[in-house]
Amino acid sequence: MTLQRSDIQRLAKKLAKIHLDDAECDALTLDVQKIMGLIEQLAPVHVDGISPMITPLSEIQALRPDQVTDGNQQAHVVANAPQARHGFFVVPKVVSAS
Amino acid sequence: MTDLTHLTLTQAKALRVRGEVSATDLVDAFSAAIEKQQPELNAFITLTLEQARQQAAAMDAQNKRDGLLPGLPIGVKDLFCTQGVKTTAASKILSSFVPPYESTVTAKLFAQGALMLGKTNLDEFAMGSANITSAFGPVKNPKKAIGDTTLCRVPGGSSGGSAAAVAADLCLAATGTDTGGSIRQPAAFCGIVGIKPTYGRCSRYGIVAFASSLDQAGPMTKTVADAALMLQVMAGHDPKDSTSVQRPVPDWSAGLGDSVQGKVIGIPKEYAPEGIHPDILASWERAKTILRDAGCRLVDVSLPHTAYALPCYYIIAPAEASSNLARYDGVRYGDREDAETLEAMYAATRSAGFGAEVKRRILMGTYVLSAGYYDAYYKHAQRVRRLIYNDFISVFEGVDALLAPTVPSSAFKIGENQSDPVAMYLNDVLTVPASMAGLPALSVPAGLDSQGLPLGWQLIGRPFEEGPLLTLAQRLEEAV
Repeated sequence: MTLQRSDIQRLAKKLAKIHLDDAECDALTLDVQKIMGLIEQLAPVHVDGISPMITPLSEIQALRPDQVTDGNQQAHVVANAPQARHGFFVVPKVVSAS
Repeated sequence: MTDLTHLTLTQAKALRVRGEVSATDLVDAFSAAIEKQQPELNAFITLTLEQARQQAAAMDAQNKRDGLLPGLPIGVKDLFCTQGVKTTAASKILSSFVPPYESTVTAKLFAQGALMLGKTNLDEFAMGSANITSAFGPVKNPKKAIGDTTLCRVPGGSSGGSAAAVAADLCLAATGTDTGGSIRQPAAFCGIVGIKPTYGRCSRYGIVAFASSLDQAGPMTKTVADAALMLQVMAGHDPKDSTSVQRPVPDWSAGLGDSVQGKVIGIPKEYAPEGIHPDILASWERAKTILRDAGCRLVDVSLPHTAYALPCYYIIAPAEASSNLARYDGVRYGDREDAETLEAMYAATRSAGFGAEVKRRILMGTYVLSAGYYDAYYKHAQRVRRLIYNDFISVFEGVDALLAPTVPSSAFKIGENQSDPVAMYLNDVLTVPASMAGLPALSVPAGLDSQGLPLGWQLIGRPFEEGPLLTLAQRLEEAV
């Protein structure tokens, strides 16, 4: 499977939400094709009956009691926001008037 | 008095405990060294010298000398969130981010008396092996090869600033993080000690996430004893990270003197890949001799899926990264590029905020997770990961630890290996397998190669058996 320039453009725009200009897209296409050559080396490995490994941990992860331990952090939560008003995050308008 | 910056962490601690040196003396000595060398090395992104001076003065005023790291100045990789101190992950997108909270690992270090001199440089979001993807410029390795007229070599990465700072005596020790070799590879390139503990040993709370099933914090130090001391402080269960394990933290320093007589050391034949430098092989032979002379028994072993670790890593790590980095959308924190619509704002923000390597990995990760390719790439890689893990576990039925080189070459020049991303990825070929399996692994200085540059020996251990690795590493360290 070779990824084409159009695939990269579509991945970037639709899924990764990154705008790429033409020069960047050209360079990334070449790079990604080289990386695909590396990861395609896995294709021939037989994995029948092998379960996917999602974590190296073999023990059961610890759960905390379901209790509120924190709160009233609104000022901290918005402190690093590029734009905030009245304790809320501000984003470009998402509904149109029509 | 000798130059305080040449002290090891352990030596400085002894002087502090005996009251023979003040915290202020230490901070002043390192401040002077940093002011002199930072312009050339670029090891730090943010300096916090004034804050360190104030903390040292307060400590000295109360004659406070308790704790495991009493007034000892360290560097902190700029991937650890530090309350009130800018934390950038070496990315433009976080160039103005000031965390309102402290990472668990740094909180533990500070609670034991450590003083932070600054935030060290790294590859952007820890993605790189040469510290050249930092938005704040590359770091220079303080070591020169024979014939180098200026400092011109990479320190390795991603914890390149930490490694350079420790090697250049700009701090007593530094924190690092390791996803596929980011502690061990720079430790080898700069001639210092670095240990990636078992996945789950240290809390990841407050560490900017790259690949969550692989990321681990660890110390980067001048000696093995220093690594044991610092890891002691960093490790332990944290209720804020459910992947940090509820196991007691052993006293690693106390175990350093243990005998290694009769220990069985596996020599994995797959760790001499094609193209490995002959100096590396010669150095590996030397380590075998040292451990054999120390009473260890060496056995040849095979980890047949080793060659698949690197391609497996470059599916799993970018997949996790693409998911983790989705949070940088210009809404809650980080830089924003304004645009008319929300979608356009996301795309413009991420385009301007991320560097080329980060974009490459996000795209690769997005692709291997996308509908139609998820099973063929991502799920397949997770199964191969299990095979890599199984190789190690079956070998560990017969051996106590594995000995291998850390890196396939010594430090290369800034600018080399930059045209082909895969050539850069190959730097991690010997460190990635232990990462995939979540095993503890360290790099200890192996002396110099024929160019006069540092090399590293890597020891890989059973899950949660950092202690025996540190003990073996100290035998190697003593013999160099």
